[in-house]
Amino acid sequence: MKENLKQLTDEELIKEFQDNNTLEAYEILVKRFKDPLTNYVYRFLGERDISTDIVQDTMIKFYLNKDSYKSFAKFSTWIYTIAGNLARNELKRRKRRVILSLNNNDDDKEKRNFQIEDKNFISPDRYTDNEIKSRIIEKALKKLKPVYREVVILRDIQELSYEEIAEVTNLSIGTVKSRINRGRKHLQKLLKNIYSG
Amino acid sequence: MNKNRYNFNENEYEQIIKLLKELPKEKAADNFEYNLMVKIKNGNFENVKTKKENFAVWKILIPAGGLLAVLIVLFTFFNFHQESADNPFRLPPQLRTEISGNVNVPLSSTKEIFGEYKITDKDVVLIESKKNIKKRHEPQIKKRPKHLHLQGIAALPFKLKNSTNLDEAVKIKETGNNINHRAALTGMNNAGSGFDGFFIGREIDKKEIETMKARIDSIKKLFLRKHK
Repeated sequence: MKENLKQLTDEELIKEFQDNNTLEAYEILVKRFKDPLTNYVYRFLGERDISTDIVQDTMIKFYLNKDSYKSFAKFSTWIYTIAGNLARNELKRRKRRVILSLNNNDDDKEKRNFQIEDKNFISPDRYTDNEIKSRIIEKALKKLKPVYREVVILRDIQELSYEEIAEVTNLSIGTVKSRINRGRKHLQKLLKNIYSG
Repeated sequence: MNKNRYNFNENEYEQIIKLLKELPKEKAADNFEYNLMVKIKNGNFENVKTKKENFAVWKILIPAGGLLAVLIVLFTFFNFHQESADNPFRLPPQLRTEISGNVNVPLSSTKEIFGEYKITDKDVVLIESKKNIKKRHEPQIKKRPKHLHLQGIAALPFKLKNSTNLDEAVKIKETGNNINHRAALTGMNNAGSGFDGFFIGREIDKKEIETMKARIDSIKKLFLRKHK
C-alpha cells in the first residue's frame, strides 16, 4: 500500500489524506517537503534550531488543517505559504524582542562592555574556498530586507516559478518580479568582490 | 510588442543566481519525522494552538479598545456641540417677542413702555399671535429663558422698580414741576432706595472743620467791611 502511495503526486496524496485520513500519505508528504522547507526557512531566518521548529509547526498545521487545502491549488505553494507565514511571524517576534531588550537597561549602557561569542564564527583555516564563499553569501543574504530576501530565496534557491512565488507571498507577479530584481541588485553590490575575483 | 516593464534581465544577474544556487542545501534533522509523529500521536499541539489563540486575542482587543476610545471622544465632542447649540450666548441676536409685540401698538406716552404700563388683553393677544407666527417660521427661538415670558405685566430683563425712566426724568426737569429730582431720576417716586448721593470715603477731622469755618467767617467779615 505504501509503495503505491509513493507513486502518487502531492495533490493525490493530500486528497487521500483528506478523504481517508491515511497517515501514510501524510508521512510521505512530510518526507517530500521537510528538506526544501527547512532550507527555505533556514535561509530566511538564518537559525537552524528555530527553522526546525517552524517546519515542525508547519507540518502540524498541515495535519490539523488538512481540510482547508483546496484541490485547485498546488500543494507545494500551500505548504510553502504556511511555512512562510510562520517564518515571517517569527521574524516579527524577534524584532519586537530586540526592541524590548534595547529599551531595557538603558542606564547600564556604559557598563555593558563584555564580549559576546559569535557562534557562527569558525576560523578561516577550517574552511575550504567554497565554504567561505557560502558563508559570505549567507551573510549578504541576511543583510537583504526580508521582503526581498524571501522572494530571492524562493526564486533562486528553491527554484519556484514566479506564479508560485506570487501565490505563496500573496503578491502580484509584477511585484514579485520587481522585488526579485531589487533583491538581486542589492546582493550584487554586496557580493561584487566574490564573483569578480 | 511586450514592454519590459520591470527592467527584468536574468542574464544581468547570472553570476548572483549561480552563487545562490551553489549554496549548500540545508536538510532537516534525522529525527525530524520521529519527533513530529510523537507530537502528533501525543496530541502535543499546544505550541501551535496557543500561538494562534494569543494572536487572536491581541488582534481583537487592541482595535476594540482603540475603537471604544474613539467612540467616547466622538460622543463627548458631539454632545458638547449639541449643548452649545442651545446655549443662549451662542445664539444670534434676536428681537424680543414682547418688545416686537409692542412696536405696532400706538403709544400715548413713554410711560407705557417703561413705567407702570400694564399690557391690555388686546396686546397679549397680539403678542401671542406674533409668537405663534415666529414659532412656525423660526424654530430656533422656541427656547427662551423663563423670566422673559409675559405674565400680565411686561416682563423685562431688569426690575422695573429699580430702573430709571430717563424720558420722564428729562420731562420733569424741563417743566420744573417735580422737585424730588433724585426720586425722578431713579424712577422711584419717593418709594425710597439705597441711593443717597455720592460721598467722600474719608472722615473729616473736627478741627479741620472749625478752621474752615473760621476762615469762612473771616472772609465774610472782610466782604462785609468792603461793602460797607
